[in-house]
Amino acid sequence: MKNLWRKYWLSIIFFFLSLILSIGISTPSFAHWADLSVAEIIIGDKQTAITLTFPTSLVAFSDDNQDGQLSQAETINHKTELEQFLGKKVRLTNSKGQKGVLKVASSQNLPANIQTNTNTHTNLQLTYTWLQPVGGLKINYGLFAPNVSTARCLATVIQGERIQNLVFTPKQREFTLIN
Amino acid sequence: MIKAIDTQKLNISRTKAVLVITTSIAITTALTISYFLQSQSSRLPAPYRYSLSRSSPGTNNRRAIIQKEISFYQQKVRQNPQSGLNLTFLAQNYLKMAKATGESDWYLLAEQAAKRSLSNLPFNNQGAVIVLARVAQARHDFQQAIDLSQQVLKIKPSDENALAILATSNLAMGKLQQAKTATDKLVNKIPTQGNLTLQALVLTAQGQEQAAIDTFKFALAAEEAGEKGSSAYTRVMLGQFYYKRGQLQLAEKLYQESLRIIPRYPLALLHLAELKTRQGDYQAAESLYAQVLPNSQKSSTTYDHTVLRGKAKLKQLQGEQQQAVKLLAQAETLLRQENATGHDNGSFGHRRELAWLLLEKNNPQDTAEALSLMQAEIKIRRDAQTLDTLAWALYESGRMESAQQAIQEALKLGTKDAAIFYRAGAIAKALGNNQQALTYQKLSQQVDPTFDKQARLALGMGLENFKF
Repeated sequence: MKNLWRKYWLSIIFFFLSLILSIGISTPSFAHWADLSVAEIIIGDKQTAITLTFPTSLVAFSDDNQDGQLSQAETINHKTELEQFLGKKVRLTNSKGQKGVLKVASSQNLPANIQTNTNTHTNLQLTYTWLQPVGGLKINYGLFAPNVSTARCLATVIQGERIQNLVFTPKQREFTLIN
Repeated sequence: MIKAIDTQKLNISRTKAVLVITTSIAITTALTISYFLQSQSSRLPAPYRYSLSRSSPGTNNRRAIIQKEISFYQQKVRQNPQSGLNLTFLAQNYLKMAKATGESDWYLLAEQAAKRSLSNLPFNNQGAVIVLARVAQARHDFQQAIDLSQQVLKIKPSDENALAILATSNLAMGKLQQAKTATDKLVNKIPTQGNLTLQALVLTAQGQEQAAIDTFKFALAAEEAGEKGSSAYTRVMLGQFYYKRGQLQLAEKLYQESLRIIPRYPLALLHLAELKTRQGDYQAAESLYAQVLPNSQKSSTTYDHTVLRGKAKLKQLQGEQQQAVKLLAQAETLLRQENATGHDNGSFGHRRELAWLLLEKNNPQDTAEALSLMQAEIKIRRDAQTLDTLAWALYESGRMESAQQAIQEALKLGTKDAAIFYRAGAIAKALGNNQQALTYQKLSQQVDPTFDKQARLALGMGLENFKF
């Protein structure tokens, strides 16, 4: 009986010790500009369009002139590679598990009369299409720099009148967009 | 006999009653007077007090309000994706959210929407260009912010936003005359609280103390009920002005007033934490930092490294070296990540903050890196703080002549800062100019008579144990 009590108390002490340690050790983690991405997702009947802004370093294979930004010409030249790569990293599936067919296009960039030198991120237009109207829709987002646990993507999702904000992280990659 | 006893009893109870009543009145009066005196001493002088309504209907949850506006324009954009103007409004609201929360993602969204807007509407779309300029400014890419503002000013020579960005960016770069010209134009055009505050900041940087105080007061007199952000910001800036002149009580009251206007206002919390650190009230400082960045916070904010450095300072001052090192390492990682984002011209990031952190570490390798960072930084901005940090790096590297040149340039700007005068004194002493050193020490004390060892420790300027 005495032993049982001792075990009981020890387990309580260990529980609180581990709780205190976990509080003490856990520290906030933050992403920074270089690891940030943002997306605007517009869900339609058969089509979902994503305007994606992400660090160009993630698609360095397409950045021929290494200026830190994909031009329209670079996007066209590497269209197939980009579609394959992004198709794996940003997957949208309907309720039957069918992946949408992805087309990548250069998102409209700045006109020539506006000059900036901030070339760290690239804007692309990702369009996913299905043959039939989608009943359910899931997104799996994995476009993160390898081994950067703090990377994240803030997405605003628009479906009809409904708007929601989602945050993708290496630990939280999947969301159901339509049930 | 019985009657006499009764009368005596009656007299005693009457006396007791009188005593009780008198005592109660005395206590009540004393309490009232003490409460009155206390409330008078803790109250801000009239010109600094916020007397407008703090709860305009529907303005309490700022995040929810901005989110509503964002949703409204997102719908508009969805209905008409080619509309440049709707995208500009959307970008402006993303920017509002970024400012309100300090979360970096919203800046990126604002930039994305502004670029899309300009792509749809390349001309007469100054709103979108201003958003790009504001994002550049938030990233400390001051030159980019100025260039974009000037593009707007070519078309609209008195655009208020462009002039404000021009003023702020020039101020940050130490181009005080350009900043002054821009703020004067702004105030002449429209003397709002925000514009007057900006003008006061430029006057402070120029060392025009009385003019700065007067302008701050004008700014407070110009405040409007719906502009709680400006009201809180002006008080924090004025608080910082008094803090730097050793008037800590007044500074604290101004920060508190700011927090009364906007509870948990990050800028006020940060400055109040700095003040509490200097006063040695480490527990209060810790709690204030925790309010800026709760452990539940997952998003990247513009305050992250400041909070981590502040917390590290607290640990250091309390002798918890291990914890301090750990926090500083986190701050260093963040600052390195941000600086790595900069490209060839290195025009953004927090290079000065990283150099400062490295100098505080006080070892040769870090000092060498800090010097190299500051030599790069000085190419893009020459304000008093940047020149002071460069002087510190040169001083620590044993290059006293160059350190003196840098600190002299800082002093020439006119900025009255006790820490800068103090460093100028230390450099003069290292060069053997003892008389000059003492003059600078006196100037430092003139600016802030309370600038003692604790103040230097709290600031972490590397001269904690220096003696004239």
